[in-house]
Amino acid sequence: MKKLIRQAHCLLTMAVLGSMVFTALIFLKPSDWKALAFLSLAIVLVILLLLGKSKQNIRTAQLIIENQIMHIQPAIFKDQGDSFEVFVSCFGILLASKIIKFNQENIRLKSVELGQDFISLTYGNERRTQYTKLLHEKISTDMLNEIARRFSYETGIVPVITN
Amino acid sequence: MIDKNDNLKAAVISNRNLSVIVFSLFFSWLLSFPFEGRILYALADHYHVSAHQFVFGTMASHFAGLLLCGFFIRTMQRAKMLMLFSIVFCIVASGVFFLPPSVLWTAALLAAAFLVGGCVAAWGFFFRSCTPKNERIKTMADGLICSNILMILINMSAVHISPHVGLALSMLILGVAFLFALKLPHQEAMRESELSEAVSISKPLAFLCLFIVVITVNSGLMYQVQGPAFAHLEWLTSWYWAIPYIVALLVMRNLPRKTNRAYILYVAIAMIGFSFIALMVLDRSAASYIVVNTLMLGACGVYDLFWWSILGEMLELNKNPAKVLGIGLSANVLGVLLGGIIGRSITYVNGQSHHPTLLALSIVCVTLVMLPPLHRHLTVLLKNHTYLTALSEMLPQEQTQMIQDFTIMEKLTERESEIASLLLTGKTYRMIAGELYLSENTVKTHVKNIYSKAGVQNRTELMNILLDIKPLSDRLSKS
Repeated sequence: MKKLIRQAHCLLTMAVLGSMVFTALIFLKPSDWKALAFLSLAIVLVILLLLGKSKQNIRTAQLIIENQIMHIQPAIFKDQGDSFEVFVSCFGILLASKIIKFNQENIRLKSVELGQDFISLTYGNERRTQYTKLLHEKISTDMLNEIARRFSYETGIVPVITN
Repeated sequence: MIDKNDNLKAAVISNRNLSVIVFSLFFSWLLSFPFEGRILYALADHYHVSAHQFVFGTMASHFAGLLLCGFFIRTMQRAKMLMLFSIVFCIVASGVFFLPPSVLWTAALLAAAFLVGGCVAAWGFFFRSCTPKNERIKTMADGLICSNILMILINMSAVHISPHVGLALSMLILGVAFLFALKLPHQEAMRESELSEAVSISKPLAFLCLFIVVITVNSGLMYQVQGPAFAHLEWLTSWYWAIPYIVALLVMRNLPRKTNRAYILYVAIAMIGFSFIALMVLDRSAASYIVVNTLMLGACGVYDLFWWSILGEMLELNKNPAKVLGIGLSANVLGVLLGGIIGRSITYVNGQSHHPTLLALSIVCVTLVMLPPLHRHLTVLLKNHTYLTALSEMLPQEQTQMIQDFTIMEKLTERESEIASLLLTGKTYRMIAGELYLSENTVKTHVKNIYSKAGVQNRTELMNILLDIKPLSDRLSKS
């Protein structure tokens, strides 16, 4: 999530700088200013498009975190600053800064399988199906049942619990 | 044996075409003559007088006609009488312009503009009565397209032949409008439900008018800032001016129902901004005019059809459609008038430098900032209003049964059915989020999924589906 936010900030800074260059070109009018102005405007537009996409990704990531059903924290490496967190929710999976969406934009969650040390999800649309399996530390039976209940309530999918 | 409903449907269809024809004919006269029309400018040039002395007074008079019509015209019969009288008066008033300029010109223009304002507002009766509710956007698009095509023909004859030929052609078109207007119905067709005035539409209408004024300030600026910049290209501007507008109307008219028109509105906002940037950056050649005009008029076409269609929907919510249409359209004229005054004062003060365009651009930026929250608020208000009106007429048991049937039919999850129940009681996303301890973003996503499962785009369409659902017990017993 932090990586996504950092990306957005970089793009925003670049967009602001690009706009300042464009405005300076309009007012100062150096030689060939029209071509440079169009170029800078085009670059700013592309950055704004990327910024829009980035903002969308951040919103999706927030959605997943707010509706988390499982939070998997793998091993933390002492000599590296960032930790790699995984959130599983009814709207998708957030793996550090990578997002897998389902129950949005015509991608449906099709089945869930739960075990004491893994969760596997099958999702996709009419043409394509994908399968993701995540391993985690062992959890209690009560927690397993609670996760199954939440999946059923939020997504309508009744998970298959494997011993 | 022909069904009575088929007869009624056939009559309604032909009346619809008739109302579109009448609208197109008198509106083309309005666009080509008194309302910043090419004939007016060509006549003024011919007699070496300034057209500006006429333009703003005419617009103000037209504004008054639109605004006041609904307070006096309350029945379809009166509306038809006003339309017939206005058309005849406008023919006579146009005849005055064959004479040299005098005080008669001003008097004729002001009176004709006032009456044609009333005529346009009165046409609201026929717009509502002759067009089914879900076809109003197409009717409006057809009327605007045809009137603009006729306007192009009149403008070209005024510019390339002579202003008096253009004037004569416009009078002929008004004569044809009169003949068709005689055939308009003078009583409203039988309607499925009586309108209730228990629910007030003043707040949604006020917001819509604010929205229209803000957008159309840009149109007024366009007339005074962009228009004079390309005045030397009359051979091109006389016909190309309205082409992007017509194309935009055609595109919007033929969009599939499920298209999200909100995104197109934001594209149109951007087009307005880019048109002024292009005006500043580009030269005054024909190619530059094509770029600037395409951006500006294309955006105008998108917006005009958007708010005309909202006004068309709002006609159902008030007994007097002339009042609703008149007030809504007067906001359009007010915006153009304000934009024209600002644009005129800018060019008067600063002549030919870039400063007028920069100032115009800053005004565009202000409107661009204001528009998205205005649009959001307006959409929520209108949707809630239409929705709540229908829901308020149902018994509580009926509402509960309706929701249960819907949940089973559309295979909603438990969470989705919980949210759907609250959604169908008229609560906003924020209220639902507060009640269920969720974020607003989460509620919005669940609602999108509900709409997707039901195959609808918004709460109003959902309500329409729900009101059509027969009770599940009935369907099960029949099967």
